[in-house]
Amino acid sequence: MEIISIIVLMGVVTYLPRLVPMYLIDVEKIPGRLKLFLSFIPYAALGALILPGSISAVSGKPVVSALGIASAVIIAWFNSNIIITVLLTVLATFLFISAGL
Amino acid sequence: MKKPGLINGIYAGIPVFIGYFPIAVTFGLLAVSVNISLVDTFGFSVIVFAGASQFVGLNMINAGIGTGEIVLTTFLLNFRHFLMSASISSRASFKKGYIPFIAFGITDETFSVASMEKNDLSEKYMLGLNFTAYTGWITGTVAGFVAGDFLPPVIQESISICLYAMFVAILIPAVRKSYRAGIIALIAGLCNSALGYFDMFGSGWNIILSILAASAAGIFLFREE
Repeated sequence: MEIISIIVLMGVVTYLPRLVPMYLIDVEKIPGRLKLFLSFIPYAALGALILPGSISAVSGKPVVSALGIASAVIIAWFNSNIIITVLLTVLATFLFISAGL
Repeated sequence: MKKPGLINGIYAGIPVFIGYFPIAVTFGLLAVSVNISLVDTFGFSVIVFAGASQFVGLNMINAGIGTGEIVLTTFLLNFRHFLMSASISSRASFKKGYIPFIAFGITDETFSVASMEKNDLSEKYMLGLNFTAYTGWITGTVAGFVAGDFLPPVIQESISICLYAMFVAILIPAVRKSYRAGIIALIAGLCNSALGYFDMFGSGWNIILSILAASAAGIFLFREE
């Protein structure tokens, strides 16, 4: 099969789950319990994305990954600007790698 | 209160752009190494617009794996966006005509940024956010394909922390405001790590199950408050 047709199919199955809930869910009519559930999803998603990365964020370098994520936590604790946290964390990670960790 | 508009959205997308660009460069580089054309590589990022699944898809195409399996894997890997899209929809009612474009741009990163926006979400804010993120993803892909290995390895390794740093930067202020956010995140993180360790379902399922379990646990823990 042509690669482009595989890509289009991948696009379709990626797009539909993004699209369907927006048509299904009516803000006015969501039951309270479901609304609470949905409001927790951002934190759950972030936790699920971050924690496994604490040993695998930098491929093949678990110590650097852990130190990098720990640095991000500390930096983000003291400053709420996302861009600054990202840039300082990259700098810290660069230093950890350069230090041979 | 005035809803955040297009410019706010574009601005809010900058960290996502910074995080996406280097990853997309890596994707472009990988595409060159598996001999996929520029048009197909570009198509990948323009049509699919979902990081991890594109890497996986590229590897599977390269390995000669059948289309059905590639498409199913992609579906499972990206189905978590169903939950994210549902979460966003529970906060705002968008005009029908905008929904196809807003929905297209729902990724882990744009979702995270939009979720922590304090004001009501508007259509234009969402489109601005998606625009910046999408631009970073596509330009990075093309730059990686065309310019190739222009970054020294140590820099490439250092910037692979970008997206994680961004997730942390989004989560921490929420945790400082309410410990509930931290507990739910921790439950989901532990679930996903454990499921990954035991490797029973594949990473697409792991993340979906972890999000569902932690959000459900949240209801039991915090419904009284």
